[in-house]
Amino acid sequence: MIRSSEPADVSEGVRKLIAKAGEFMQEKQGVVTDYGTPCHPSCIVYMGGGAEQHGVLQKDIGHVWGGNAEYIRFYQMELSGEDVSLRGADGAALSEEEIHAETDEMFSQTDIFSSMNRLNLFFILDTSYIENAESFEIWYKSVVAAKRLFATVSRTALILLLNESINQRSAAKSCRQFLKKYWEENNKHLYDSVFILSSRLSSGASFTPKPGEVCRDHNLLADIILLANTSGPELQPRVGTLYGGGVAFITAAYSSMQKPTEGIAKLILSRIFEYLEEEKEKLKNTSLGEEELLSALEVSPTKFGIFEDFYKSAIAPALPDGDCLNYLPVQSAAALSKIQGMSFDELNRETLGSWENFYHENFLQVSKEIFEGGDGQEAFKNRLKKQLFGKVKYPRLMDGIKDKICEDVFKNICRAYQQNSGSAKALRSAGIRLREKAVSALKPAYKSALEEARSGAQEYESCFESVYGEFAKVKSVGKAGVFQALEAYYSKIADNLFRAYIFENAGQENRFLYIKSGDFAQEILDYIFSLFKEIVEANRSILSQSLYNGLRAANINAGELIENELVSGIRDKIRFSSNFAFPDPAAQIYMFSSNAALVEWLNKSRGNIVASPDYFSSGRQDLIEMILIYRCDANLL
Amino acid sequence: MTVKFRSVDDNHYVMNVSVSESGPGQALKWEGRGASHFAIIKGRYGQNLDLAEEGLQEKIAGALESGKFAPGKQVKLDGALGAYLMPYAEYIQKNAKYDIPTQSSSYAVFSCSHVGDDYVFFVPNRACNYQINISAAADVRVSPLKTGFFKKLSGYTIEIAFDEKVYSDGVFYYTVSRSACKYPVTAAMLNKKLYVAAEPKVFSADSGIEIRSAN
Repeated sequence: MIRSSEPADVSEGVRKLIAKAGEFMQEKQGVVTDYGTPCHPSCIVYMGGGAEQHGVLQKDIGHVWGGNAEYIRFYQMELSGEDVSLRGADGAALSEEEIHAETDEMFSQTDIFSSMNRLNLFFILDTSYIENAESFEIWYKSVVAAKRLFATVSRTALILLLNESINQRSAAKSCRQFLKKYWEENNKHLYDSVFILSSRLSSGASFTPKPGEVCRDHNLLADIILLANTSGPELQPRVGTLYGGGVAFITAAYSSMQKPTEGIAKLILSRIFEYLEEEKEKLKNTSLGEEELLSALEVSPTKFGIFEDFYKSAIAPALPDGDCLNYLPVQSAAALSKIQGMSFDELNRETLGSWENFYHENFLQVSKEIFEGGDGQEAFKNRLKKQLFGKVKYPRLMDGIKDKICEDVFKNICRAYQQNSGSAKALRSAGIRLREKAVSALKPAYKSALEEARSGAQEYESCFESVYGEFAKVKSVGKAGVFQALEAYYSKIADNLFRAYIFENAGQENRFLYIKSGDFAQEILDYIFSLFKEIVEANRSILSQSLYNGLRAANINAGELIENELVSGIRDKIRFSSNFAFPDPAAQIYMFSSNAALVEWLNKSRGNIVASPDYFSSGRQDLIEMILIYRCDANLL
Repeated sequence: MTVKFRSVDDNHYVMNVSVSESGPGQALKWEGRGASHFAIIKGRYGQNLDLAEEGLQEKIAGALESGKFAPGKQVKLDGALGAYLMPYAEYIQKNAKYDIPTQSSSYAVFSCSHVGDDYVFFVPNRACNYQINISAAADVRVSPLKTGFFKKLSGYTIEIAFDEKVYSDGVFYYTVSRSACKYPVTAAMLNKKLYVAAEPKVFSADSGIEIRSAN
């Protein structure tokens, strides 16, 4: 058995490699330098459930607000009859005083929030947790008590995540009916704004979310909060579409174009695989000769270092020390002081054979137990195998070592220990004799090591082929959309970067060709990822190019692409479904990192739905989002 | 040739094996009946020489069939295990005795009937006292070296009195308090005065040989 641990699942390993590579590229996309500032102190309140998903929302908000996002409080709201209570980020119930203290603290952060004239409260209610109209009504009305808890001027928004999957459709219908009835009776809501984002789209298409996941799959929920509460001169017109009376509810359509970082990562990985394949193929059918094997095992005419290391660690500690000779029996009192200066044979004569017996019992027997027992042979074999894997490129081990070379090299090893020890002092002589015996006893381990190096190399090769095959299968998935448009461009870049990397690193050992032993698949995947990281790091400035610059450099027809990716079919992507016609969108907002050229480019595109779209700096160079805001009448409910 | 093993009966047995002084050495004695031969098996001190013991019957039968083991011939069966097939005539001639060396060992005597080509060994029960363990003793004298007039000597002398002809190297060994090693005693060292740098304490690996201090 070559492996010391369970092998990695190749398919799973390759998928993880691609995902890791994509994430790494995403991380290296570049530092956002134009983080936004939240306008008002804000709290996000999860009604009933869903607070466990807050991390995802906070991450999305953090893309725009950076560290400022951490100053936004979030709570889990609970009801007991008509009483309302809040739990904090750590899940602990908060007293009214504690809530006030937290609110006061936000209002003291003048360097974080640009306006302190009110508190923005975002109530998120996922109807997955709602059973019927009565329970929805209680939650809906709980905002009155909740506002009292915060005890400050506030603006409220209810973001209703409407789960209209088959199991929840009845509850969702009750919610819609309640909202319609309430609006028709009061011509206003208890909230300053009611957003509805449904799992059923305007096209009729729907998905079945798990509780708390109605809006998890994209950035829309975060975007609404960002648009409603980010400082900036362009804030007011936008906020006007998100708040304000006169409409029963607001909904939105969302589309985005993302730089295909995972696809680009796959292109670079492809080059790496191709390169490794070529490198190993060059070395096949070139098995080792005697001199090379001697050199790989570091055998000199007088020393075999690996054995010496092993002798020192495994045998020497078990042997008696030099002082033991002093207590051997001698034939005269005068000889007692001369023991250490005697040769092996002299000492044996002087001790009437006791020394030879002593040597046999305390030296030979000890080493025999170590080397002829399974553990010693196994440990030495593994040490030799490690040496071969570390010193010989694995394709050269795949054909095995010819028997004659194997024998000749072993003779060389033995010869290093066939020395005349006659004149050496007894203890040194004992060491020499012992090494000679021990090294001969290790022949089975030596032969096994060569054989296992061969089979290990073959297994490694087959593992690489399996990983490569799996990669080829997986890399073809997900080529549509923006990646399709950019593939040729990034393919060329990947090729150039890889060639440059190989050129710069020419002459350096290719670590892939040396087996480390253990889990081969994981070893190969780890090596490929490390090479990938080196290439990405070395070419960060090119690879972190923004999506817009990439599109331009690739000579993409931007208008067409934007129309295809962002605008085409957008009216089918409204996050609400109704038998009545939707009004025209109240706003069209593009979100991306500030880029005047891109604004100009988008303004010229034929994909604009409203006359003057808004532009919002999201800080993301790799993502262009588009949101359409719909302000809807009650009849759509 | 057939070799058979049967339980003793009133007409075929050996019992009350004992040791007696015999001139300079010692001899085995026993009471036997109905045998044409006696099989004398020698083993290590304390070794179980029961014929029912696994392997011993096969070793005897194998040696007989190979011709190595025959009346009047000493044969080594395996390791320390030896055997002698004593014809009844010799038993009478030697006054119902079999001379043995002064050596720690075990002996068992079995009644054997040899007719034509066939051997029948009679397997005794414990009540027969067919086996005996013979111990030996070695006398050890350890003395500190005397301090010389001009020179201070440190160390000890050691003398082990034992018959080197029946001794195997390494059966005795000594230790010293300053070392964890065991120092083997060879046959050549017996009955001689030797010098050791620290006070030796002598042991026997053979439980049949008692180490006695002669100081």
